[in-house]
Amino acid sequence: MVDFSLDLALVAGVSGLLSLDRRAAFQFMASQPLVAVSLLGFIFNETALGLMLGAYLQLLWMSCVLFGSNVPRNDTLASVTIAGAVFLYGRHVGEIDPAIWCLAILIGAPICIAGQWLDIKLDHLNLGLATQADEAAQTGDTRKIAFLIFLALIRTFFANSSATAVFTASMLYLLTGLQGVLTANWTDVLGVIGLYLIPSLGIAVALSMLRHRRGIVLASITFAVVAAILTQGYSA
Amino acid sequence: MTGSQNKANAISSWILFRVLWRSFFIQAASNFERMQNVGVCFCMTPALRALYSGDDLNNALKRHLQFFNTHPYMSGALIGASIRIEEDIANGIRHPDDVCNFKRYMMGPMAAIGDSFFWASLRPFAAAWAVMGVLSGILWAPIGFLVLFNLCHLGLRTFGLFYGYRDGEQICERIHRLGLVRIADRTHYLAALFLGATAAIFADRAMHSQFKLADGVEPFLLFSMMLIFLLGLKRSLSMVSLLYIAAFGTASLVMFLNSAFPIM
Repeated sequence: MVDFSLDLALVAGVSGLLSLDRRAAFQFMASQPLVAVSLLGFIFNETALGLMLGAYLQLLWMSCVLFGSNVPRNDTLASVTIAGAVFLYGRHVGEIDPAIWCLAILIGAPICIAGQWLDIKLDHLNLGLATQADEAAQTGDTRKIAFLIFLALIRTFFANSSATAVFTASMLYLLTGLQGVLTANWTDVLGVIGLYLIPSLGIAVALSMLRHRRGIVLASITFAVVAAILTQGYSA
Repeated sequence: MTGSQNKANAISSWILFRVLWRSFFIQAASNFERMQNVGVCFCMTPALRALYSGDDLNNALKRHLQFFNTHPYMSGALIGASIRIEEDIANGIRHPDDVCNFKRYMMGPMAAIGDSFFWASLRPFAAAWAVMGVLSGILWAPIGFLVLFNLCHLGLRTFGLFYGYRDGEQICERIHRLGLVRIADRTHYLAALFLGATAAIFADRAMHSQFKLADGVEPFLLFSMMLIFLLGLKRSLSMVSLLYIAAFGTASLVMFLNSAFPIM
């Protein structure tokens, strides 16, 4: 139980730090699903699975972009929660098979909406900081303004860490429960979803980011050529 | 302007570096009313303290707590130029309203360039390359993604701040001359290439899995599903709803096929 709590705290801590990178500080893009999930995979000694899962999740959330004042779906919270639950499952429950990570994606996808709600709430809370900054400017208190920035960072970190801990624990509970009732039929369904549905949806999301129709044509031609080369390679 | 005159060369490189460091936190206290205002004021503080004291400092801080919203990576250029204008204001050359007007008029165009270049082009391009790399067995692809993206990010942030301070308002012209929008347009095609190759790798994986359907059908199935999803996304259906609709459809189909044609 202590081991599990420590692992959960580790996932929550990493998520908190990545949430800072996502919007509040630096924005080095370490919070992108590919990097975030690969990092978690490395920490939990599941590097190969982390890279693969990160690639899937990156494609699915490729269109989450902070344009202007728009608050997009929180891809970081969702990805870290999904990956965290999968890695904790592997460490504390049983072997990770494709059905488990596929189920985790299906269960965890709506967490991005909860994360978006959390971001909006944090923005509303920051209104209070802006008012306090006005008061600090009246007296020329520049230290207070620096402290307000620090307060906003701490708030973002703890809000996202707590949300990750709650969601990851709940998801792990669900995964453990559902794993027991997965029949061969359901394993087939999840296998097909993982092999066909999630990749094609991910590519479609990424393609929807392209501004020119010619880009989609180019992607289709590349697909045909590379698929032909790969098939020829195997038959040779 | 008492206590603020003759401040030529008051801004050292060290102060600019401090401003650059603080610019990484520009969105920390982002809010719906005045967006990045607290962040900008926090960034400008080292420069303003070097230029002003007393009531002048208070007024300068208040000037930078007005509404501000731009692309975070482009903020360096606007902040650098704002410091130059503040220096002129402190020396009595310009009116305090000039800095507010400059920020008000330039934050929109700079945000548009940043959104177009970084969010809509460089990020999908670098991510598409990294995803293709990971699927092809390049284990360092996520690090490559970070390096590629941040070379541009940190380069433009630093260039913007230092040249912004040197050139003042002319920095906007300089940024325009970099041709970021044109580069963004071209990276779209590269991203398309990488995505096409990624889709082919996924098809190849499906062909060599335990769920292969029949010889050569998998790429067509994957491609058709991709086009259907693309159509759904263009019709404003969200990714999550598409995922659930398709998962439900797949589950029903597989269950039906397994019951109608059981494998003996």
